Amino acid sequence: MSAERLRRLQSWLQGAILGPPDAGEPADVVVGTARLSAARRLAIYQHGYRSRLVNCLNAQYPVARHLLGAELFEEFAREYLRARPSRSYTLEALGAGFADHLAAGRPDLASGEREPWIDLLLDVVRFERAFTEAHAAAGAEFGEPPPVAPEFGDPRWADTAVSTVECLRLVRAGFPVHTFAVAVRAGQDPPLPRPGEVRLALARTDFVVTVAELDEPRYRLLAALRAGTPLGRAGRDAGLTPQEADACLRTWIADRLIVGINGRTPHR
Amino acid sequence: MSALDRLGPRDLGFGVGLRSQHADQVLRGPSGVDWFEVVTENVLDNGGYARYLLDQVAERFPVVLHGVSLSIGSTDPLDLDYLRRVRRLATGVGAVWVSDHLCWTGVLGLNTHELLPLPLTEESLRHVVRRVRVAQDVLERPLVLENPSTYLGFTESTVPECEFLARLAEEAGCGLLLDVNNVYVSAVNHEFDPYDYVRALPPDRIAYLHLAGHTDRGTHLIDTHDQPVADPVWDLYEFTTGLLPSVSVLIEWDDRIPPFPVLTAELDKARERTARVG
Repeated sequence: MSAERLRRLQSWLQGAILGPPDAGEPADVVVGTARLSAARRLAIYQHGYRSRLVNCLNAQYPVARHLLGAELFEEFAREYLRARPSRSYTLEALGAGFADHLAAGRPDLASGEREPWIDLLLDVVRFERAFTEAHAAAGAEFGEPPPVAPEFGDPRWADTAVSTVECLRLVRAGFPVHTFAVAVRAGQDPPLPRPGEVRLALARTDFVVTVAELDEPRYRLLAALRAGTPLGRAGRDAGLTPQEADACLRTWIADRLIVGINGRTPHR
Repeated sequence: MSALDRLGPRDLGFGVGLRSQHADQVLRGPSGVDWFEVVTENVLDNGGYARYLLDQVAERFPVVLHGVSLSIGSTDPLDLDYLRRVRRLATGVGAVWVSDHLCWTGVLGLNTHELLPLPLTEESLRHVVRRVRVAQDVLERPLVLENPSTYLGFTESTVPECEFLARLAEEAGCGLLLDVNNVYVSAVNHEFDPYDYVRALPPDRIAYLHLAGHTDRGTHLIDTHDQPVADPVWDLYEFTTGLLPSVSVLIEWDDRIPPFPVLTAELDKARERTARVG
């Protein structure tokens, strides 16, 4: 068997596993026995692949699954896996493109009228992805001392640049998905949330994901600080007074959303 | 120091996979567990509780990193960035071994996350030997490779899996992780003698053993890791330990994970079976 033959064989088997259940004719390639035919042997891998990855998406998106019902969610999940098979060594990344996949295929785009339930679904999926990432990224649980910010009034204050904690995720949603998600995760069956814009900051305390609701100026401030904008300009752009921006800075240092000042990060 | 010597200790004792739901029992101790194995990809990029727990456990117990995405048999290029990350992690936690599977998980840049079988030929053996050498250079340690459970074989295969593994270990200088349950599962599925398989492996290359439960689907067995070890697998384990100078064995239980005492009861059974051999 040449290297080229090995390459072709692997491409064939992968295609047969990732494709529709009846894809691939294995009889010439796979050894069958009286007890288990070649086709059934291939089907074990086809089934194993789908069930493992759909289960993984079930675990990453329990609230979206609750919202859609198990059958429809798993149909969407299988479509997603067909359209965007995994390219990562970790299953943690498996659901990273789920929201974009659903957004690209939303059926109401053609009619030009947005269906609110699809907006809700996308908001839920984006929130759950942020939740997964906040759970896994580096946090500030190791007791390092908080960074020291310049005093308000210090000439260097406006130029202060901060580092936010790695697990911080910011989510803007058209529905209060965070309260809905908490209820679903607690095993309840809450009513669907009514439309209402929320701006959320997800982070972690003692390895538990925390969600804080922010008003628009503070959300914009935190997003700008996270992007590296100096404090003075970030506050101005967000429509906050310097005193308000300074208060936010100190609150977020205390809450461990900000873990470094001007490139100095006591966080490990 | 030879590659074989670099395999390190072969007598870690009796271990289990590290699970967050067992953290309290593990860290409170004594747990009745001698060492722990962690799925590499579950902690590789993790900065949360999974990594914290691993660090805590690694301070108290020997740990082994067990990967599922190396894809050593793939015709895609090796993911050197992945290997460097594994090296850093292994160094950081003082891992005793870094193991993965004799399999491939994807080509053309994709990952099926399935441990797919290789056609076992002279060419694929040379292919895997070359890649194991590269992986070991990047990891700066011997790789330990596990025999996977398989459900299909290729008409083009010419080398029995046990011979393939034995020659791979000798030619690439790697270690072997002998999964006794996988031997049994594959033996039933492909109708070969599991005892002949174990006899054909070089004992001095076997770094450690895996035990796990499987599910009988009537026409075949599936390696499900969701129940106790089956009696025929215990018998094969007892036979295997009789061939080895010392034993490091790990119970894998990855689905429908039981309370900690159920796991440690399985370990006690492994101790008892090992002691029978003497």
